[in-house]
Amino acid sequence: MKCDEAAEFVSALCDGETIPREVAEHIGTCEVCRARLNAYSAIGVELKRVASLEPPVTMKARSWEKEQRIRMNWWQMGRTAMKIPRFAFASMLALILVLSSSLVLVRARTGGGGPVLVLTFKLLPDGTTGDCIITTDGNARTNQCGYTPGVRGGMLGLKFRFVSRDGDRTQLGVKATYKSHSDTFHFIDDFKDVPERMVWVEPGEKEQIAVSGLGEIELTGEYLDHLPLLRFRPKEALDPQKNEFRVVAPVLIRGKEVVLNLSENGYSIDSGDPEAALMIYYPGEGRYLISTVPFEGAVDGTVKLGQIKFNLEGQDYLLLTAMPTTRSEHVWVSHDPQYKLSEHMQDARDDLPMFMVRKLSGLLGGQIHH
Amino acid sequence: MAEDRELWERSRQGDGRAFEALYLKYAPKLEVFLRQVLGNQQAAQDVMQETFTQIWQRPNGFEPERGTLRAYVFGAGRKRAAEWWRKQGTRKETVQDEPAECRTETASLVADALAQLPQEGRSLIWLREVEGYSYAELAETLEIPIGTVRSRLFGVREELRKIWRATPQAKERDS
Repeated sequence: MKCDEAAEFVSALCDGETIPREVAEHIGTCEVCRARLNAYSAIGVELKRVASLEPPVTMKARSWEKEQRIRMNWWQMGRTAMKIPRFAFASMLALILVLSSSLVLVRARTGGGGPVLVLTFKLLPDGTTGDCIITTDGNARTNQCGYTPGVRGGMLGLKFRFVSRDGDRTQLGVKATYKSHSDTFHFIDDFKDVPERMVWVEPGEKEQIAVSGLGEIELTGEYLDHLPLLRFRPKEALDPQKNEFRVVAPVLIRGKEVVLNLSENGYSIDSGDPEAALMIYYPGEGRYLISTVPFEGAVDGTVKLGQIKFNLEGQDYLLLTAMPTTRSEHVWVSHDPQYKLSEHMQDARDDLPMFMVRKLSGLLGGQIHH
Repeated sequence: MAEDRELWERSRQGDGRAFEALYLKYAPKLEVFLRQVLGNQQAAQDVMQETFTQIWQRPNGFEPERGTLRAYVFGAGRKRAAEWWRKQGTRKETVQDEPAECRTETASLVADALAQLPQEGRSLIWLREVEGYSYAELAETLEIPIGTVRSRLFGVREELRKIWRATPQAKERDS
């Protein structure tokens, strides 16, 4: 070991950093390195002494409340933090405005300062995202929301509670937790011991929330003037995404008979899984499985916008949904009239209807998870 | 740190008394730090006041999840100091307006050596040795990667050591 190689570690040693064993041994026996160590230490001591010799600072009392606070707009924030030439920044802003002009029009129509807060979170750094909606007008029925997506082999649990609102800023009570190696999340039990922290959300601002065992999530907020019909998918477009399978308020018709009408039961959407499938359970009817990929015992069906047609057991079926379901033009359908939901899903009841979109293999397996 | 966060949260909501508590806690240290960076006592006081005014007026600048309030305050002060230097144009950085006889000999040696360092080096070694900043806080305050902190600190210490050793007093002492 040469002294030049050890020199940087001598400095690190002064800062209380851990250094490699061989460097530590060298410093212990080398006169030059020990002299350097002593010099660095002496400099540190003398700097502290210089600081002690500084004339005392006399503080003038100030009345902060009288000083005006500034709420910066995007242009001002950009100018303040600018690290690129101002002309380039101005050009970039102009380009963004041109490209997003249609979006601006839509936002203007929805009324930016409305009582509904759309919370969008993004897991850093890989970008898993989701939306959650609460109201900020004191409505106890809609003033909290939760979201529990599967992330990195575990379950992320997020719960937001409206606390107060000050202009465009909303204070939220946030519970965030992560269950590793799990594919279930109990909304009451799993949040019970999670401490709530206070977070302020403001349009255009990003808040970061640390989640133990997972990392950080980035939270942003945007106001709307109404509760979106798809509460957890406020930005859903009419056109389905690639690998998106979604079912909104389904109605199933067999011949001229309405078999089931679940228009009050909301919706279920899966994005990103090419094997997504819909399971509909209805008391007395058993289970229907509708998948975008073929599977054993299934018949071919056709898809057109929000309509799926198929023939089972010699009868024509028509499944109507409120939105186009998939980009695929074909689906595969099976029917099991003897199916008991309670035998395949924890806490499920056989006397209540249910539908969900999940990965096909998960629905065909023995046990189905919520 | 928890106390800082609580005071900051109240300050953000417009509580002037909470902000005053933070001001009284950090302003004296910031002013002493700025004296080293600027080499001018009056300028240090002005820049310190401007820094706190700016923090109060723009309360969304600090994000507690990203680092400590102390690092944020000193980082803001450092940036304003850099702005002050830019406005001074070509003036030499190593201005000392304090009479030499106010200092002891040893202190003067170190202070003179410090004054010969570039502004960033002065900030780095002062925050580390006097304010006791961690590497993470230094990285945040000076806006450099954490891995660079160690090598820069070494560079600054080596510079100081060489300047110090080259002074006539040091040569006399060593001989």
